[in-house]
This record gives sequence, structure tokens and C-alpha cells, in this order.
Amino acid sequence: MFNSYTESLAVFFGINVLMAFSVYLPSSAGLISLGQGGFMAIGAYTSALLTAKDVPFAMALAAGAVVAALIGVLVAAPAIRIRGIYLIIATLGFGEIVRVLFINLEFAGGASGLSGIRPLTTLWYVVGVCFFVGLCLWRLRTLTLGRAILAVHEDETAAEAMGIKLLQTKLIAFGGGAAIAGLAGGLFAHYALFIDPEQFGFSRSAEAFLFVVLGGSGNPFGPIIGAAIVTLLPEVLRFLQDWRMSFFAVLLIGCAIWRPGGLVAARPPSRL
Amino acid sequence: MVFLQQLINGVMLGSTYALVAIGYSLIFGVLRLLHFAHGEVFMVGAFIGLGAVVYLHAGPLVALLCAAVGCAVLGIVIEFVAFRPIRRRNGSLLAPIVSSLGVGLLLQEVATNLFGAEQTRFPPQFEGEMIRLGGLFVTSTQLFILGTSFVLMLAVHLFVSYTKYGMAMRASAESTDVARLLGINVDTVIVLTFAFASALGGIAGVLVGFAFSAISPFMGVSMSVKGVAIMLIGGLGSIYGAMVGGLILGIVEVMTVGYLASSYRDAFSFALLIIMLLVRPQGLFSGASAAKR
Amino acid sequence: MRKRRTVVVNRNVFIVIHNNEVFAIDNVFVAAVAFLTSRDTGIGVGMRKTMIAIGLSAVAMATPAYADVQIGVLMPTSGFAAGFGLEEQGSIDLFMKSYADLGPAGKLKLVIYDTRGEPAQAISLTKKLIDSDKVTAIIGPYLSGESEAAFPVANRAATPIVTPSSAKPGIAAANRPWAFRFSSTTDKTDKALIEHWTKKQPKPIKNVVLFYDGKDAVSSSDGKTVMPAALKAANVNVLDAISFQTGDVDFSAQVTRAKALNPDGIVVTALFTEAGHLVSELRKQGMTQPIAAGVELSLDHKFIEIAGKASEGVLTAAEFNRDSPKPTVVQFVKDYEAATHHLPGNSSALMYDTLFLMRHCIMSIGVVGNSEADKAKIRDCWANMNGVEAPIAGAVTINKDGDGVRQPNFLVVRDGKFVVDP
Repeated sequence: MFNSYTESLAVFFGINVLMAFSVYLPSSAGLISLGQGGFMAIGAYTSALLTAKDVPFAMALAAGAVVAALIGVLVAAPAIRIRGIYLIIATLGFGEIVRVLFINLEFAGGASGLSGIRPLTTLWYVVGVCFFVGLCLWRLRTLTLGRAILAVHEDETAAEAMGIKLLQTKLIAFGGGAAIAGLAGGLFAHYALFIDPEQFGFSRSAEAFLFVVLGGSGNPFGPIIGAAIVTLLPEVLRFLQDWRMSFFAVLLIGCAIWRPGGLVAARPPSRL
Repeated sequence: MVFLQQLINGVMLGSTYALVAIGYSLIFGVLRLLHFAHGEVFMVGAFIGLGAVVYLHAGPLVALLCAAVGCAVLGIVIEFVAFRPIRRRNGSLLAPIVSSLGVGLLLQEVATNLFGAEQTRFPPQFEGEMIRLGGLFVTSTQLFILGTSFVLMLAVHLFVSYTKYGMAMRASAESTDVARLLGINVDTVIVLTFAFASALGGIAGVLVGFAFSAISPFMGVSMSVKGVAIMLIGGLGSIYGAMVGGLILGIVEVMTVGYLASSYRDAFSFALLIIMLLVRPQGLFSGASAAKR
Repeated sequence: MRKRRTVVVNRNVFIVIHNNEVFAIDNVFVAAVAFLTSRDTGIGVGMRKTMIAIGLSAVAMATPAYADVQIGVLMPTSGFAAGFGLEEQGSIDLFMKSYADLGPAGKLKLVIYDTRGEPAQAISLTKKLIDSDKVTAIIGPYLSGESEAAFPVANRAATPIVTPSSAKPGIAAANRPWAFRFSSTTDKTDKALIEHWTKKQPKPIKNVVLFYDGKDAVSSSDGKTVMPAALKAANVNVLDAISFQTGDVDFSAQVTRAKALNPDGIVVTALFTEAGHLVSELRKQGMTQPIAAGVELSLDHKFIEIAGKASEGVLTAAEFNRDSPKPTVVQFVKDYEAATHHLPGNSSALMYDTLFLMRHCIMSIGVVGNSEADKAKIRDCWANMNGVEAPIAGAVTINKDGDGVRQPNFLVVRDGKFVVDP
């Protein structure tokens, strides 16, 4: 139906939407993460190493997500009391450590990366996963857990007074975000067919963060819009040739100045 | 002996990190902003220095001056274009981060379009004689860089401690409201801070060009991330913390490469970061601003 | 109402609107026939169509089927490996000036993409060449990391792919039958290099320090496995293997570490930029030992530019002998220098010969499109290559692993240039 160029654009858009979701979920609990690239890497490498051993794709993807979630919870537990800017820095540091870790893992290719990954990701797979995750996030808002997350974000003291378990709620939100990033990583690895640690560094985390801030973090649609803008705009701007990324950067600055709440401004994050 | 030699390597690298980190701290102190584009200002400084050397046939000191002035101007422009409008509109805490990411990307793209994505050669400035200090060898390049960095760090210390503007900067870093009440024009201080910080970053860029004879539009990317790490290790907003943190990071990196392997270089730096976060989140030197959190 | 209008869409396709019917005709002769027969000559519609049909077939028999043979080329023309890409571009321009015509097969058309030296780009561009541009075969990529990543894609898509230059052992062998390598592999060149290097030293080399780029695929495999094996075979002890990463500019820590070990010699496996900085730092810190550099350097003159005087005396190996007295080589060097004002490096020679051999394969088959059968014919031509004369390399044979079999030459830097070391 699509030619391979449009298809690859659609696939990368879908993966970006997932990364946006992975920042969205923790942020709705007030946890801003600049390290989701690290979880994406964990999901990518785990699933790639598993499919190389003939594990079925769906299982490998799930495994990648689970491992990412476990590590997310492990990392978040001691750090959960860290607030605001410190948390952002901590997640940044975490993302970098994951990158360095994979540079030194020889059996995963080390700095030269892992190649020969099976081409198992198709557009339908990506669409399916996006839909599934999006649906879950949308439904979450009406469930008790979702409301607990929002309450924690609004006012932690009040939430605790109402009987919400702070630690548990935050960990679930953070772990969930990590799992979604892990899924994105697995899908990415089996489409790009080559992964190396540099692809999951700070730029990737910053990009995911931008999706949510640009699109708005009030509801799950915001991140989708944010991802759409960041992914598709450079393509639309292709006629600008070498200057399209510069134009995009100027757009970013403009957005920050005039639409700081995000383009789908439902609820700008009130405070950190 | 080898250890001391590596220590010198580390201190030299660390001193350039320190200069960039001081800029980060200054801006964070006054604006509570993680200025991710500061690494790119460092990169622009390096290219200005290159221009001065190649087109004006300038000597090392003049090149440093050009970079300092050029980057100071750039810093002021960035503040007016990318950050002041957000403050005027009372934007959220995250908007300035987005803006600084945009500025960083823009600077990188412009540099790539002008100079190409690969490394550009920086003509060596010093004849590279080896000078013996006891049992150690130091090249004249290393001496120049160390000397310049320490002189600058001393200058920064004197500036913030004893001059009117320096003290105004520190007051604003403590609390912008109180500073305003005391009659300090906070907006002017902010502009001054940006100019000063960017100038330091630009000088560091030229020094790196001298040290390694190669610069590229992407040399600022890792600096952006490291700058944040150094700030945290040293204490958010603390200038002395930035100096010490930068030196520590430089030494840790060189020691890791010298005694282990180059692939572990960033591992210890970030492990150190995480440990600091868990054990002493306010950093080594509690910068005045950190106390409030 | 008889209306005729001929619209030239491009010089290959003509639209003729004729009695409210639209014909798209891609042959100028047929279009002319259509135009002529549309005049109000009193000939009926049916008669006109018959005349066009006759004209079409007559013309088709007379003029040859005009078809371009599309070959994809993957090169790093930007990014850290751009130096290599530039050298390849010089050869491509030179080659296309004289050899673009393929006789009955039509014209050679190259679809060139920039991989930026990134394996991920190499993969997506390989897909693009095969799916969108529908090329018959691909020349490239350059770097071993890129080839490692792109070869499986081409192999699965049953499209022949030949790298002129990747030297990491095993890449072609892992992707049979569609992947080939024109260059030889590091295990063969390293052995010859080390033997030659140790033989000619005034002071015997008993131990060395080995520097390698841990990030680049071929440099890292060379530094970790291949070169140490070659050194062991020559009874040289490796005191330490010190790594760095592509893009590093600061080698002070690594060199300080090596200096303390006081080796007899230094071996470097790295691309030209990092090798240049490293060698410069080695001499800066006062290390005067002889230096041997692996084939990853590829005789790129940027190495000498970056290292400056420090590059004097560095020995390396390459398949290209620029000073060969062979007339075809002399001509190539002269033409290349006249066109680009640079002497050709190893990369230039490899690309030129690969293009030549690809053209040889196309012409030996006859008319070539991009059908599966045609791709298979090209693949077989490469697989069975035995003793085919290439202008620079001489007789070329491809072994059963898909690798080229060739003898390296040894070159040393003297007075700012690479000269042959006898």
C-alpha cells in the first residue's frame, strides 16, 4: 500500500508516539524523565538478543518491556524522594549510564553495535502496539490507579492524606513509562536492523521529552500531536534542504515562548 | 610518576570543563535554568577562535579575546531572544528548557552548514616543546591552558566576591525577589550573567582547540550533558563547586582511560553523579540556591 | 472535430492528444509518426491507428531498446568518513567520463547516496535503492560497520552488493551468495605488514603497544583479534592494547600510559582522523619509536595533513601501489591528479576497479534490466571471477568466501607523501 519510504516514515512516527507515551505516563504523576532513551536501549537490546536465539517476536518484545520496567522500578525506588530538577538530572545520568554500559557489553556488540537483527517489525505491528498502549493510557484516567496518579501530581500531601500509597503509585507510573519505552526500543531494533549505544543517548531522551512538552501533557493526545510535529515537520520542510533543522529549532523556540503549555494545552504542568 | 603525569592530563582537561561549568552554574544560579545550549556556545567560541587565527592571523591571546567578546554577544542575544520573552509571559518551568534545546540545535545546525560535519583542523599555536618540571613533562600548550584557566578562575572568584556587579549576581542567585527589594536591577544582572558565562565558555572552546588541534560542530553536545553532571557534583549554582567538579570530572575521565579502557570513560563520571545524588544531593559545595530545595 | 496536440513532457515521454484520446509515447520516432498521421489527410481513424502501429513496430526494430542500467552506490560523502567518500567520488567522476556507455546494454547510471558513515543509514539507503530506485546491483558501503549492517538486507532482497573497501574478516562470508568484497581482508594484510615491518628495523622489535579504535568495526576487530595474531606469529609481544573511540581528539591519557611501558614499536589500527591525532600526540609526548598503521588508514592524505611532521616514517599497507610502472596505473594516477589536484588514495583505486569490474560483468551478459534473472547473472559473474584484468589491481580473483584475493603493498610516509617501501 505504501511505498517503502512512506512506510518507514510511518513506522518511525509510531515509535516516536510510543516514546512520547513513555514520558507522558510518569509526567502525569509529576515525574519528569530525561532518560527514557536508556529504557528504549534496554528494550531494544533485550529483544534483539532474544530474537537472535529464535524467541518469537511478540515474546521478545514483551520481555524487553518487562526488563525495562524492572530496571525502571529498581532505579526509581531509591530516587523517588528526589524532587524537581534533581530528578531530571538523575534520569539524565541514568540514561547516560545505560549508554556507557552497552558500549562495554561485548556480547551485545559493544561500541560497534549489534547488526543482523531480523526484520520483524511491520507497520501493522507498530500501529497495533501504539493503539493498544494509547487505549490503556486513555482508560487509565478513569480507573482508580489513574486517578491516584493524577492526585499525586496535584498535591502529594493531600493524596497521602487520602490514603494513596505515594511510593507505589509513583513506582507504577515510572515503571509503566519504562515498559512503554522498552516496547518502542524493541520495535525500533527490528526495523532499523542495526542498533548501537549512541542511538539511545541524550538526544533521544530529549526528543521524547520534547514530544510531551510541545504537545501538552494533559491527556494522551498531546504526546501524539507532539510526536507528529517533531517527526513529520522535518519531512514537510524537506524543501528547505540544509536549513530545515534550523527552521525546526526556531519553531521550538517560538513554541516555548508563545505556547509553553503545549499545543494541546489541556493542563500545563503546574509545578515541579 | 605515570600517575602524576596522568594527573596533569586530567587537570588540563578538567580545567576546560571547569570553565564551561562555571557558566552553567552562573546561569542556573540566577535563572534556575539548565542551559543546554551552553555547550554549543562553547563550540561557537572554538570556531570564532579558529576564524581569528586563520583570517586575522591572531596570536593565542587575541584569539581568546575574540572568542570571549563574540560569545558574550551571543549570550546576550540568546537571553533576549530565547529566555526573556518566556519570563515576560511567565511560562512554565519546562519552557526555558525547550527553548534552550532549540537554541542548541540551531547553533549546531548553523555551524554544520557553515563548516561541514567533520572535524576542522585548528592550527597548532605552540611549538610543543616539552618542559621538564621535576620528573614530569609538560608541553607548552598544556602550560598555557592551565595557566589561562587558573587565572580566569581566580578572576571569577575576585569578581563575584569583591565587585559590585559580582555581588549583585550572587544576591540575585540567592533570591531574585530579595535582590529586587534591595534595588538591584535583576534584568541587567541576568544579561550580565549570560554575557559573562558565555564568554567563559567561548574561551574554553578556544583552549580546547589549542589543546587538540581539531574542532567540530558536535563538540558541544557531550559538553552539554557533562556540564549538568559537573553542576550536580559540585553543587547546583555554586561557582566553586563548578570549578572543583570540573577538575574532578576531568581527572576521573583521564584516570579511567589511562588505567582501564576508553569505553569506560563516561561510566565513572555518571556513576559518581548517581552516587552524589543519593548520598549528597546538594553537591559538594551547597551553592546558596541549593539550600532552598 | 479533429484536434491534435503534442506535448513534450520530458525528453523521454511525449503525450499526444489525438481525437480526444491520449497516447503516451516514449519514443521520439513513434511520436513523430503519430503526429504526422494525425494531420487532416482524409485518412480514417482506424487507418490512422494501424499506421501508428506499423510505425511503432518498424521503429522498434530499427532503434535499439534504450535502457539505463542502474547501479546503486553507497558512500560516506559527509560526516567523519567523508575523506574516504571524497576519494571515491574522484574515481567515480573519472570513470563515468570514459566508461558510462555500455554498448547494447545502454548506459550506466549510478544512483549515489550518502551514508554519513552510519550503519543505520546504510541499511535504510540499501532498502531505498532496492525498493524505490530498483537498482540491479549495489557498490558499497565503505566502512566495515556499514557493510556488516547492510549486507544482510541486500542478501535477503536477492540483490548483488559489492563493497570496494571493507576489510573486516567474515562479512561477505556471512552473507552468501549475494554479498562480495573487492578488497582483501585484514587477516591477510596484517600478517604481511608485520613481517615486512619487523624485518627492516635496525633495532629488533620484541614488544609493542597496540592502539585501536574500539568503536569502528574493522579497527576494533583488527585491534582485538587480527593484529595480535599477526604479531604473535612474528614473535612480537603485545605489552598493552589501548583503546579509544572514533571521534576522540584527546589521546593524552592513552599516550602517557603507553609511554610508561617503553615499547620497541607502536602499532595503530584506526581510521585516518584518529590515527592522525594519535600519531601527533605520540610524537608530542616524545615517543620516537617506529609506528606501523593497519590498512584502515587507506592511504588517505588527510592522515598526513592532520599529523603533520609527526607522520614521517609511519609504515602502512594498502592494495594500491601508486608508483607502479604499469601503464594503466600511471594513466589513472595522472588523470586523477589532473581532475582533482590530489593524488589518488587507496579508496580511489578500490572504487575505480570495482566500477570497472561491475561494468565488465554487465557487458559480458548483454542487455541487463533489474529482473531477478539479471541480478543472478551479475552475482554469478562476481562469484566466478577468476583472473579478470582490472586496470589498477591487475588480475582479480574472488574466492569462495566472496572476498578479493590480493597482495598488499607497503607504503611509508616520506616528506609528506606516501611512497612505496621496498
